[in-house]
Amino acid sequence: MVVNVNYEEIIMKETVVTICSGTLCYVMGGAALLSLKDHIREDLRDSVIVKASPCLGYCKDPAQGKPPFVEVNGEKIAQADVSAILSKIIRG
Amino acid sequence: MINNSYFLEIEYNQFYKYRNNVPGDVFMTSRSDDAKIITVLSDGLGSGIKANVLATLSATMASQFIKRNIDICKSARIIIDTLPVCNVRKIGYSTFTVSSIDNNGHVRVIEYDNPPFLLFKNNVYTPVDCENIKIGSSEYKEDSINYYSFNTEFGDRIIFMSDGVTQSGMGKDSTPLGWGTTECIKYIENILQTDPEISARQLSKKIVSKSLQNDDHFPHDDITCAVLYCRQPRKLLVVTGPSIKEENDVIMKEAVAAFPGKKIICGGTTAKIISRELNVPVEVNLCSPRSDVPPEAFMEGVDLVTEGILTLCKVTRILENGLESDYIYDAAYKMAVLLLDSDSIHFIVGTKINEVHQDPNMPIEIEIRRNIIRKIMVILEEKYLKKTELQFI
Repeated sequence: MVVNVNYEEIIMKETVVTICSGTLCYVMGGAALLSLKDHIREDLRDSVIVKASPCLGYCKDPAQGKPPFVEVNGEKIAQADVSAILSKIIRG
Repeated sequence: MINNSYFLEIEYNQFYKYRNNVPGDVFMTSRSDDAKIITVLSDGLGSGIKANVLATLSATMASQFIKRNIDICKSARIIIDTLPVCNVRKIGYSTFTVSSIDNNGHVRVIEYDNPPFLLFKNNVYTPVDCENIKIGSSEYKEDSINYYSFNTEFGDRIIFMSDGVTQSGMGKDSTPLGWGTTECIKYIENILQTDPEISARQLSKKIVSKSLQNDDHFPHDDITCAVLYCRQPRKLLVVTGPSIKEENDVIMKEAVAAFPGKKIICGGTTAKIISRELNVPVEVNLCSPRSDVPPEAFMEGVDLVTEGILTLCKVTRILENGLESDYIYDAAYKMAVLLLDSDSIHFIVGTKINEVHQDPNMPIEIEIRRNIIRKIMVILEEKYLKKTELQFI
């Protein structure tokens, strides 16, 4: 997958990305998100902390959206993919 | 479990003859109706499919006769007469060593044409008196069996080997007649002195690996070694699934905190509950190899934390097919290893059904947790002779 990101827009502040590794998120695309760091330019990887979490619980409430769920600095992204996560990191 | 003082761990390891896909040696275990444990090691003449079929036939017959308490001489005679005899070598097409262990630790062993079994007491080889019983003649030779009867105690080990072990290295300058029983005994005693609590699984693996080394990694015959170890039961607790009642979270926490053995928490929600109750963080391991199950997590005081149902389904497959059927060292493999390295496994299963798992949009079908746990328990008891207990919460 090719992801076009303008890295010059990124301010080098620390960002914490938490990927839900619960059952539903894992089978609905979350497994692929665990290698998120491979999609971030090498010199910027240190400013992004990628963590995985046991089930974040969003899947229990349909109003929260569809899995896979990811949190970027505590803010939830539903139906997350690499492109959506990187956009969120850039926008802050 | 033999009695309240020890558990009988039974494991075997095997290498096939070079370029064979099927072993000519067969090792079987089973339990009789009166709770005796029966083991049989049979070596089919030659190698490959034919040898495997003959070894399986004699092992199955021997196991069934012993279960039904049929006279041993009569049983041995029937098996020997059933099997063909090689025209050229004038020996039977299969050997067998049968053992029967009752709940009081009393052992009977019947050997026909296999290397003699080895008994180790206090980590030292201990010869056992043998009665050689003639059981009649076939066309080519007088047949006899070796019969042993003795009692086991805590710490004893009984080792059965095919001649692929004792004859490994045959023809080399250093071991022209093969490794031999005497050298094999010295090797085992060395291991037991260095590691007196080595498990049956690890010991059998070391013996077959040494035999393979003797053969310069080109085994001239199938190499099989089975170890029976009268040990302190290794206990394991598996906690999986939240309770339908929140007030039971405390019971779960207390079970984990007080359990005198290894512990596995299986399920993200379960892990979060126990983490909250014990005030200990959970951290998912992103360095875990990528696989079809989510990565495991760390929690202080717990040996393994995994995701729930996907991991349990994979554990079931691994246990059914054997550890060697899967090479990814993921959470499911680690859980399978912990289960197989334990003797007595206590399952605490939460009764709350996760409705999200039944979403029809899911790309895979997911079984209900308690059904999967029951399947795992049956495999552990019937295939691996473990002791299991189940508690719903």
